[in-house]
Amino acid sequence: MKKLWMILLIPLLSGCWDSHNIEELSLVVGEGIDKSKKNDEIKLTHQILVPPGTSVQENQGQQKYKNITVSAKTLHEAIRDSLLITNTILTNHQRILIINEDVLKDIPMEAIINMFIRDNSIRRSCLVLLTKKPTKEILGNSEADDIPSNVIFELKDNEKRTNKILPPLTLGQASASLQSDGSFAIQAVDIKGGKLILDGAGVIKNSKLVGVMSADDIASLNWLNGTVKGGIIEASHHGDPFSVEVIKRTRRKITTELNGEHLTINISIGYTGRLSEDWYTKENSFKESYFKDAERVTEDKVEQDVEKIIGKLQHDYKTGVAGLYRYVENQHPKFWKKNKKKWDEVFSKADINYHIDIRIIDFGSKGGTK
Amino acid sequence: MTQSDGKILSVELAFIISCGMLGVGMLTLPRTITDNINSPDGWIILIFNGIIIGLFLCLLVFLLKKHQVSDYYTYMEEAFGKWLSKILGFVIVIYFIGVASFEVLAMSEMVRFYLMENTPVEVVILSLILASVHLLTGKIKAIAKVCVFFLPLTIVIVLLIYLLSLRVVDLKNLQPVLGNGILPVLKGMGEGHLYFFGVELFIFLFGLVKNQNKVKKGILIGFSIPVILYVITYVLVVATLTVPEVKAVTWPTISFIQSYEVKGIFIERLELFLLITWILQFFCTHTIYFYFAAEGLTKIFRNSYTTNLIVLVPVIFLLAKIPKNTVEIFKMSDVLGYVFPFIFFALPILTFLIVQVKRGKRSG
Amino acid sequence: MRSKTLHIKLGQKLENLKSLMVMQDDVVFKEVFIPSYECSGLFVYINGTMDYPSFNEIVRDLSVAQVVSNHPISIEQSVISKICSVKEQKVSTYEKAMEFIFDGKTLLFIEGIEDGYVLNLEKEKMRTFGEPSTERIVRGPKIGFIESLQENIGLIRQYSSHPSLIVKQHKIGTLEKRTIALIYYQGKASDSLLQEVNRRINKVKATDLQDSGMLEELIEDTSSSPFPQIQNTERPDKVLAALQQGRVVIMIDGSPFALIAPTTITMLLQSPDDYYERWVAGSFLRGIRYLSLFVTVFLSGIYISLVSFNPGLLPTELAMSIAGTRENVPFPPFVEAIIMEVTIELLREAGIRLPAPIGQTVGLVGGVIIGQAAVQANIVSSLMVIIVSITTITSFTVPQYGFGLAFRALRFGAMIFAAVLGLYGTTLFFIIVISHLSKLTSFHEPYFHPLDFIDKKTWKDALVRLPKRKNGGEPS
Repeated sequence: MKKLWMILLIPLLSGCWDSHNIEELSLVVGEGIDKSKKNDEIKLTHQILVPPGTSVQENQGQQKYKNITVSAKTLHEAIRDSLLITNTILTNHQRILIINEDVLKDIPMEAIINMFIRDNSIRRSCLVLLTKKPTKEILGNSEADDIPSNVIFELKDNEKRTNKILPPLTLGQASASLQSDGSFAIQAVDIKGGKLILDGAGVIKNSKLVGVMSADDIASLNWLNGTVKGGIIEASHHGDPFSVEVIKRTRRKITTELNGEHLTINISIGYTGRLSEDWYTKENSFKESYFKDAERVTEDKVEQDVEKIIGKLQHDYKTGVAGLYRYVENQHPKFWKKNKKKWDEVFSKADINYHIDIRIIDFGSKGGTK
Repeated sequence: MTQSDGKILSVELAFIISCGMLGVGMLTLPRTITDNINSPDGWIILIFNGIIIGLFLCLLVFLLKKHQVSDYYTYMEEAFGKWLSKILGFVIVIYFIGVASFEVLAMSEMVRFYLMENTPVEVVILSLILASVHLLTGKIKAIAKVCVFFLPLTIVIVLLIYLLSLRVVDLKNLQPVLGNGILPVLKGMGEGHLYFFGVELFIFLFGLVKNQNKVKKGILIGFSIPVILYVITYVLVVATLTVPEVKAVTWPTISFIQSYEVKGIFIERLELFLLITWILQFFCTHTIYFYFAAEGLTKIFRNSYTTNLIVLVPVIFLLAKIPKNTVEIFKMSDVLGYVFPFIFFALPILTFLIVQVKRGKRSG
Repeated sequence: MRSKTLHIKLGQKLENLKSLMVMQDDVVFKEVFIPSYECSGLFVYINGTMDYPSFNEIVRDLSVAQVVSNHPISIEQSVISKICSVKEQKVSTYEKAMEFIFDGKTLLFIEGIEDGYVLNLEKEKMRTFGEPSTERIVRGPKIGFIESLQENIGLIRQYSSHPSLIVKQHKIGTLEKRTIALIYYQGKASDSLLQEVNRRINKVKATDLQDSGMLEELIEDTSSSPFPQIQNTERPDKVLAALQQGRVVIMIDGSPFALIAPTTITMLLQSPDDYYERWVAGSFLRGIRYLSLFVTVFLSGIYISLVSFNPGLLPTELAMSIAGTRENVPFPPFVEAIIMEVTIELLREAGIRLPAPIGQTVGLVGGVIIGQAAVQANIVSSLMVIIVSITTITSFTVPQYGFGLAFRALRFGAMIFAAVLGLYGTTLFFIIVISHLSKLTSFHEPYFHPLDFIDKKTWKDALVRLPKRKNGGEPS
């Protein structure tokens, strides 16, 4: 039996069918998709990592990445065409996928990401972003030797500090949302003053880009969804501005009511916050009525913002980007089944009541002036 | 406690049954169930079916104990006579061979898809078959030991992976519960037993257990481990990927693990661990079926066990070469699914009734 | 002439013995004169086997012996009383006489007495008891066995005074007879085990053995396996613990290593100080040992399969730095790994063979300088050097040297499987090793036993070392 094994091992030694040396692969960290100037061709930009050399001298002045742009009719063809320029592409490490706005205006998003989902090597946790600028510029914009894809990828972690970023949209989530015909918002990235910045968002409806939002709109949308994880609310009282830092969400309750074909959505959200800045010279946070006042002002501020974004969603984009459809689906499955196809219409006509309750639970290490 | 007596403990029975059940099902089950019922209620089906089969297992234990079955093939001979029982036994062996080659095929497919695209599938299939022959020369005792070692490893790793996944899980995706009413769930229940491939081995293992009074406990534990793992898997996968997406991907469980990564530890991509543990599980399942096929042939033709092992290698290999693509592979499992209820439900009941009547006549 | 009885004349005796052993230059014939009886005596012995101080004492005693007039005693009685301190036996044929001489005994013949006296003036050529060199521990008894079987048995008896401790001695071998001892506790060791051990020892009765290692290979279940199925130890505390568990100990004269059977894989991985240290520390160390076993065998394999087959499964930053270190290396990871692993194994082997101070230097030169130079010359990548160093260090944590050797060899198997089939190959190799282990038996007892999680008490003890009161405090 033992000798039999040995004989069987010999042909195996001629194998190594899949062996590739790691240094001979092109590690892709980011991809950008643009529309080519040529008709109906797509331009694909790979961001490929260049391994650092072993010695210090080699490292100096060497860029850590290179960008390769290829255009072709389909994405997979573009990837294969890029092999004419560089080593075998390894997409397992891809972190971001940036799509130019122009692309989504005429090609459905489902078609764009189809190849990426199908490919077994690209992870579903890869981020999807939108941009106004050509993706080549975004991916080529680096400062101090940083790799642009990594910069963008790490910016999304700031979600806990600011409310002007959408919760990260991964390839998997995008695919899932597209499969269930939902509409959703997609974070946009831009260059301002030579730096990469997460700014605004695009609204995707039926796989098409139907509108764009500003960073403030994102904040409002986050308030509407209750997905705010941090950041501040600016408001003013007694003519002076002050800010409240969001600590955490205490409550989120979303109920839907049906009245015939008319839908009412009640959203009630609770947050705790900290009075983090106050320009009012007669501040006295030790008095309860003082910060109760501040609470009321901030609540009003948020509710106004949310009111605005609801208006925008219902009348400008005419789509339920907020993910509220899940609640309708869960609470009124029969109604949902019937109206699934015209959900955007139903949403546009629905009444949305938003109520937020902000409790200031601390005012830092200073509570009063004079 | 010597190794050569060929008897297993009730605990080992539990582990063998668990390993026999945890095969390809774990990786595709969320899709197959969701395809059937088109709603996120699959976990209800799993639990109810689990309970029903659990009860049926208790009944089986009772029936087998009542007739003091020590070897199922001789028991069948008592019921159906020499020739019919041999034919029946042969059908069962073919079914075992089928499952064994299906499992090895599914594994090679998974390996090809996620690990090695260019390696010939034949090499993967053949190397696994030979590895299991290596183990099979040690008979049931060695198999039990391997199962007992691999199963806790699998459970610990899988649960760890699942714990780390909780971040991306959104239970909202499982709602509404019974949104389409109870009817599709009941319909899905009819085919629900198919997810429990592997329990049927119990009737052949029954006679091998040393401490007969603990058989019921052993089989129920062995059966409930996979059921619990299946329910957890189903819930997590569907809650992460959503129903329409689960229906769309080929290997939902692996897709689910690919949708997150853990930052900060040495290995952040956990599908590595899932793939490895699942190769182990595929190996176990394959080996167990392979064993019963070889053992069955030995019982039917009364020839040497080792000969049967060697004869079965090319048979399993060639059978695994028949399906041409992924769709045909899944079709193969459907075909095997038709035989499963016959072996698990119909055969033991029928055998019991005939033997009962025959023994009754003899004593009366 | 050989089987003839001894002559009564001393001169005749001398002549006959000399002619019988004409080729043996190291046989010494020393005549002495006993003045008080006015007769001469003859000592025959092999140069170098005798303890000279005691010999001198006897000679002096004999020469100063006075005949007391009121109680005249024969020379015979006088000799017996003078040499009573030594073992006294009589020899009457030439054949027997020669046998005793070559056994290391001293013969005394006296004029007028036919038979010769056998004096046991044998000098025990043995080292003193010292710390066992292959199984060092931090805390616990620092005594190890030596090459003398009788001393070793004495050591065991010293610690275990119970009468049910049985020591059965057999002689085996054809050219040179060696004593082997079978030690067990009656009532604790099962009858079937004893029968099996006796059966196997009887089978090898006619073999000449130099060390217990040879015996081990002859009596184990599967000698083609890389894993030792019999435990060996230099430590009396380990032997005693094994005896208390009902296992059988086999010792052979001339070897400081006792064999313990049956054994299981977990026993081979336990060190006695697991039980001498506090239980948390003991469990921790045991866990480290299991981990290091896995690392020893599979780390290089996993590295090869991740780097040359599935780099996509590495974290991005790590993949980057590996690619960076491998940038200028001309070989694929497998060749790189083989170069480094073989180098390290060579160094290790060289280090053992060389005298201690040089051995250390070789280790240092090899490990540090060759490693560093190889990286700078771009023959191997720096990460590979780290991987190989880790696997080397971890292979030393196995308490049983022979067991560690098995894993060191298996590592190359894992590397080959990884080089051909990548991660799948590594997993396959794991499966094969585990399958092999679960088929192995040690004296018909399952070898892979407590690791298989079945017996609740043992598997807990296999993984962690529980506080003593709970598991009865039986170390193994």
